Amino acid sequence: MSGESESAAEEAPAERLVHADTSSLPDMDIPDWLTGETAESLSAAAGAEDWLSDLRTGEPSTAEAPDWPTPSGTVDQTEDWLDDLRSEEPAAEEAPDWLSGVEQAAEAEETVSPFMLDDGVDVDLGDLEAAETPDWLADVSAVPPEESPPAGSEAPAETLERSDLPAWLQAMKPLDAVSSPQLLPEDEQAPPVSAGPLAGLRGVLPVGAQAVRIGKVSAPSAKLEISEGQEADIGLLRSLLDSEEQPLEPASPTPITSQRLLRWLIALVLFLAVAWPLFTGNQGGLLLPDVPPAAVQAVFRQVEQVPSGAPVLLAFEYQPAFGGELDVALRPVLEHLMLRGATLVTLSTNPEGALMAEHALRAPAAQRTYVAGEQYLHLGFVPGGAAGLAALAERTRMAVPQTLRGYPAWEQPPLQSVQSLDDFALLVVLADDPAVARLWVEQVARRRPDVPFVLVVSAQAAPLLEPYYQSGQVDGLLSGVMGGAAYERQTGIQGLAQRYGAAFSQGVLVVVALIVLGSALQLALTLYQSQNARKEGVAR
Amino acid sequence: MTELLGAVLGFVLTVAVFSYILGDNPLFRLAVYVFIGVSAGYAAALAVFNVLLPQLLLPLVQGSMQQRLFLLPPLVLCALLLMKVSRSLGRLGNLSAGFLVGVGAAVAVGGSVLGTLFPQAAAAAQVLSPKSGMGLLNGMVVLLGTLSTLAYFHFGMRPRGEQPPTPNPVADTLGEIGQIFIAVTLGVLFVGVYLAALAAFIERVDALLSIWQTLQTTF
Repeated sequence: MSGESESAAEEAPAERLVHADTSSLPDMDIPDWLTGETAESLSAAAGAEDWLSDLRTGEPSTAEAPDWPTPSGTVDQTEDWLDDLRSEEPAAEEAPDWLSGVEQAAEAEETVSPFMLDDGVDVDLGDLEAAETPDWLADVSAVPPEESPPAGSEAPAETLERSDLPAWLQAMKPLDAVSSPQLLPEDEQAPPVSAGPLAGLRGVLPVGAQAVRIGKVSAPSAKLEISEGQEADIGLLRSLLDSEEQPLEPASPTPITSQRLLRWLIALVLFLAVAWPLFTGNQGGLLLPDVPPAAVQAVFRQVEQVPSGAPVLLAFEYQPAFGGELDVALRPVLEHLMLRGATLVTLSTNPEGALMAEHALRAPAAQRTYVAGEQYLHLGFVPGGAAGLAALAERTRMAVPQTLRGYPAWEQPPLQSVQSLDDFALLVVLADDPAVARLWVEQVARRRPDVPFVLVVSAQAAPLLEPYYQSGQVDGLLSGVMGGAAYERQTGIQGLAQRYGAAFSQGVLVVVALIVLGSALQLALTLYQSQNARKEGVAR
Repeated sequence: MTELLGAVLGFVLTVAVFSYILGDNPLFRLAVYVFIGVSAGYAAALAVFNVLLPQLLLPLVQGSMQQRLFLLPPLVLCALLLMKVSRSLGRLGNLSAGFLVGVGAAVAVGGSVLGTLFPQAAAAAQVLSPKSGMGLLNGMVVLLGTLSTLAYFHFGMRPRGEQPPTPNPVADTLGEIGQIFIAVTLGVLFVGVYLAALAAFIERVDALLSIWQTLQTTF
């Protein structure tokens, strides 16, 4: 690089723009607009900014001064460094050479806004046309201003060379549907942006609801090349969408349907079948096997082996909704235990189980003159679910520290001799949920295999718990009202179970008869309809 | 007098529940809401007076230093669990929730494996060594039911190169037999549910008759 070039490189960029010496450059195609007056105009546009002129004077323009909040203090209270700043005047001798050049060039021109370059620059187009310009630029400049298309409109199609689009692209080319003619007028009518870097511009950003257009899908243009199958699909989709918008007609109220009448009839028959044995006390309809089931006999044997005065733990794991069934099934077992003189201790991992325990023991305790706190005791609620049961099996005293009434549990007479679950003569779990009964098997019976363990469960839980009795994990199983009735017959106790058992048998018989009758009616109706259909087919 | 009042209340609530046969109505809803409210209130009171106060709070105040130190972790975990109520502090309760879930899952899984899976598998195997002819028949039925039910839940297919995979014909046949066993099992479960409901219905009808007779003798 020559020495002149090096000196030029050391100059500031603005200086280089303004005072570039083009004479030293080789003779090449440099348009005139890049030299001479045009260059000076550009230098004026680039350098003569307001902010730069402010820099020159050292005082901000009052017209563009921001509306600063007025300080509460006086001028004298301002900081010293601010005073220094205010008093500083750029000294001419301190200004660098490149800045002085800029100043000289800028002072010659009027101040322009940095975003008004096109208006402020006085470009002589005649010089541009005379200069050696590329062909494409010459074609553009040859177009008269009045013939140039208005901004925003499409360019004439004749000036563009049509390309050969492939067939598939031609088929996809929408002619009218693609264009959105509403967009441009809305953009022009859009309010200008009032603040920010886009201030003054229109339609730059979509505003509000204009950004998201929700509505029906417009019908496809007739010029869109689609097949008949696609048209059919579109029609189907449109019909589906239209049907979604149609309000449904309210269903006409049906006063009393035949189904409701049938329901009432079934309920009445069932009520009479159940209420008649209860009302008359007739137990002739009780359907019990002569020999009780083996699982019930096993429960009986376990209770028979309980020594007099030995503690028996009863877990009440059922909800009040099943009290009508399980209270009846438990009653003969409770009376049998009381006849044996066992000490009864109750608990539950279900909060409502404590309530059910009190309810279940009230009547038999009064009948057998059992004294609360001496011959039977409620321990209440054992929290923790499966973990609570595991704790009960491993650390019984720690898991249940007090009774339901708040007394220290292990100081009460029924539990003074009990140190762990092994000291109980029998474990009886009453459950309506097979999952809860299974938890007792898994967490307690597994850990304490030496303690006899029997289940008294709802009829709905029995099928799922029967395998535990078959496998020997449970020593006895008694389920439902009929299980209680069988136990009463085994022990010779006349109680609620046999009384309910008679009604239970009648109810089951009636339901079976209704099912058979309903099935026969349905079968006859189906046959009748099929015969009618066959006759109609023959007639045609 | 209290028993009579309770009997009348029980009579009214029972009739309210039975009114569901006419369709959903305010009387039925009232009975259901009363039942749910009483159950929830009793459970909450029991949890406070049977667990929280005697097993946590009172020992913290009146217990020895050893008891207090022992109860400190449960107290902290309880406090953290209460944070679950707040949106901003709810994350603090994750520790307690994780502890509960972890301990519960560990205990339940251990119990299921050792208390159900192994003993039931051993019991299913024992039916193959019967002591009588009927026992042999029973064992065969149990074996067929077990295998066919397991086969019904076998959804694997044999890949055959580029051809679509085909199911195992043996497993398919067994699965169809298993369907019968599953249907019988579900039918038995449904019968159990019906019998439990019938027992509850009988108990309520008997209660209605008893209350009616009591009211007749009283007035």
